[in-house]
Amino acid sequence: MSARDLSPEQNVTLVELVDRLLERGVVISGDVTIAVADIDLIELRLRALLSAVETTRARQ
Amino acid sequence: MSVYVYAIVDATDLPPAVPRGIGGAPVQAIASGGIAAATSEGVAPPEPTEEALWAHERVVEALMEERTVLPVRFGIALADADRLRAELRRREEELVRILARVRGRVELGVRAVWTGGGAGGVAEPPADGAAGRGTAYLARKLAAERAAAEASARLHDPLARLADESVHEIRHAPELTLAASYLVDRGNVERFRDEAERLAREAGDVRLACTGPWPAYSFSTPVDA
Repeated sequence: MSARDLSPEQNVTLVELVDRLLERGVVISGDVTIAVADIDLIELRLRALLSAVETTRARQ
Repeated sequence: MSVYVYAIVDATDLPPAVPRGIGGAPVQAIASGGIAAATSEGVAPPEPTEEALWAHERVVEALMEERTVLPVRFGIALADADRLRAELRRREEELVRILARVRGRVELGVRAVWTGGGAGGVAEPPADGAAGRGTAYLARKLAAERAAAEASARLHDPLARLADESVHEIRHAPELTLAASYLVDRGNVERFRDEAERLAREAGDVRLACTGPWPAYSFSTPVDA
């Protein structure tokens, strides 16, 4: 299922998921071997947000 | 061997019905003292695809059914189990304190977008940049921001009263948006949802989505005390 097939409600859920998992939650540090690269986070956030906006517009 | 971490739980074991995690990897407890981390060994931090995010989330949500959990941010792995145990030992007191804070509670997300534009609309500054018009623009901008703050407070304040804690953010562009998280007692979830819907109906020109229950992502970091 691509983001475009999602209802606006599901897209909101995806945006909320991305916000929480990538920016919040406990950060276990100490010896983090690899953390997700910042650039990937920004790209993913943008993709999720844009698809949410597009779907909302398509349904109006 | 790289150890991927999903969550911290207030027990030394995991419930039996935890789904597989990132890339289908089994999820195991690594305990230290009275707490444990839910982990997948041999899993390096994955790319943040929608699939991987949901795999992480599914594990945390399953744990949340049976345990008090602190969700760990996506994409964190430690070098090996010993390093993770050492980290749990070092931070046990702090983690136990945050576990107590979220016990019996869930996080609800509220995202409200004002569709009318009346509450937050700000005209563009004049192109010629004349000083007088610039001042008028600033005054309009301030008034619009004040109206926006009042509009979002009408939604946020009553909801915050139904929650133990809350965090919220108001964005003015591209549309006036309230993005908020509320830490709510499990028994209060339906009441909270009903109130959110009622407030949205009352406000009229608001599109509101209430999501969750989520693990307490927004309330799992240390409180400044």
